Amino acid sequence: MQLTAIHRKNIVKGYCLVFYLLMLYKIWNGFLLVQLKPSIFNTRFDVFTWVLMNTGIHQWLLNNEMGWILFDVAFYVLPLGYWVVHQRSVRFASWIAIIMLPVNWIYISCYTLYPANSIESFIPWLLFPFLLMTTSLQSFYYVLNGLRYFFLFFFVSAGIWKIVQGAVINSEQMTGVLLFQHKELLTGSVNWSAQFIDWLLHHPLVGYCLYLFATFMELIFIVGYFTKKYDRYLIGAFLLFLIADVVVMRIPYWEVTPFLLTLIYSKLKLNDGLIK
Amino acid sequence: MIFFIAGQLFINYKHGVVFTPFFHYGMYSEVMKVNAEYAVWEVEANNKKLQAADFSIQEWDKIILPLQYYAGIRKSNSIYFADTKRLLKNIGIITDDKKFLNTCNIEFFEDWYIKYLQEITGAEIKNISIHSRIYRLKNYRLEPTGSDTLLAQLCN
Repeated sequence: MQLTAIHRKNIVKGYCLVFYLLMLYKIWNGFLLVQLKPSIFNTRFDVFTWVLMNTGIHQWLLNNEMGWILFDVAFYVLPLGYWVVHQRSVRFASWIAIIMLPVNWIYISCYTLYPANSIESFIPWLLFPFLLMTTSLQSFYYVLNGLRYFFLFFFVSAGIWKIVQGAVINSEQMTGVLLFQHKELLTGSVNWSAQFIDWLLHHPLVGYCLYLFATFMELIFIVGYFTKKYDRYLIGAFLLFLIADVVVMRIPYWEVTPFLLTLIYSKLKLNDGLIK
Repeated sequence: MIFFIAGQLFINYKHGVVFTPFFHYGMYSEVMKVNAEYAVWEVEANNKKLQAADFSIQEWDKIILPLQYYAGIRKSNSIYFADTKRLLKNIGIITDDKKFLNTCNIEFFEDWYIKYLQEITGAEIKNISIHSRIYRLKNYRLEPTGSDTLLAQLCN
C-alpha cells in the first residue's frame, strides 16, 4: 500500500492521541510540572543540557508556579494546535512543528533535571517534531522510516551493551538488579509485587533466565533492519517489554509508545512518482 | 540522517558524556553484583514508616526521587567542577557557577517535602524523619542494621 495524505493524517492523529493519553496519565499521577513543584535539580552528563543550564532557565523554574504553568501550557497545547491546523494546511502546521521542536527540547531537558523521570524515555517527544515539520510526503516517509530505525536501535543497543559489558554472563545480574531497584519495597510491608520480587530473589536461576530472555527480546529488534515483514511481532515484543517493565522492574516506560506508530505504518511505500 | 547516525555512533563509542538526543540505551547493561549491604530510604511521617507497598509505583517514585536528588547535590555539584566547566570552556562557553550549583538547605527542603508528601498521602503531616538505613543481605532477605544516616547529614 502506498503512503497517502490520509495515512499522514492518521499518523498525526495517532501521535496526538498517544500524547494526550500520556498527558492524562501524568495528570492522574501528578507528573505535570505544576504538580511536581520542583525545588531542586541534579546535573547529568549531557553537553546539550549543560549549555541550556548555563542560561539559568532550570533555576528560574524552581519554586516558580507561573513558570510551571507557562511551560506545561506551551508543551501540552502545541500538538493540539498542530493537529487542528494540519487538517487544513500541512505547510502552516509545519510552522507549529518548528516551534514545537525547541519547546519540547527545553521543556524535557528541564523536566528531567528535576525528580521526575530520566530523559531517555522522552526521546520520542524530542524526535517526532522532525517528522511533523515535513511538508512533502516524500520527506515524511523518509523521516518516519528514520524514526523506525532509531526505535530499533533503541532496543538493539540495549541488548548489545548487555553483551559488551558482560552483564549477560553475570549469573547474579538479575538478583543484583532486583535488589538495587526494589530495596525499599523489599524492606517494608508485603503486597503481591513484593512477594513476586522476593520469589524471584529466592529463585536466582529463574531471574537470570528472565534477564537473558529480556536481552534476547531486545536483540531480535535487529531483524527490523533487514525486513519489515515481522514488524507486527516487534509490536508484540515492545508491548511485552512495556508490561514486563512495570510488573518486574516497576518502571513505567509509557513515554516511548509513540514509536509504535513507526512499526504500525512501516509497510507503507512511497509512491514511485514521488521518488526523485 | 547520516549526521544522526554518526552522532549516535560517536556517543556510543565515547561511552561517557552524552549530547541530547544521543543517549546510551543500556537498560541495566552494566554488571551488577550482589552487595552485602544496601542503603535503604526510610521516611517516617507522623511517627509511622511509609511503606512502598501502600503506594502506586508513580507515587513511590515521587516520594523517593526527591530524597535521592537532595542526597545527590554534592555529586551533582562535583560533576560541574570536574567536567562541565572544563568541557564547556573547551568549546568556548564561559559558565556561571551559580547556574549549576545547588545548595544544601535541609530546613527549606523538609518544609517543601512535607507539603509535597501531604499532597501524595492526602494526610496532614505534623512531623517527619528521613534517613538512609543500612540493610544487610542474608539469605536473599534484607535485614535492618542499627546504622543509619539522617538526610541532613547526606548533604551538608
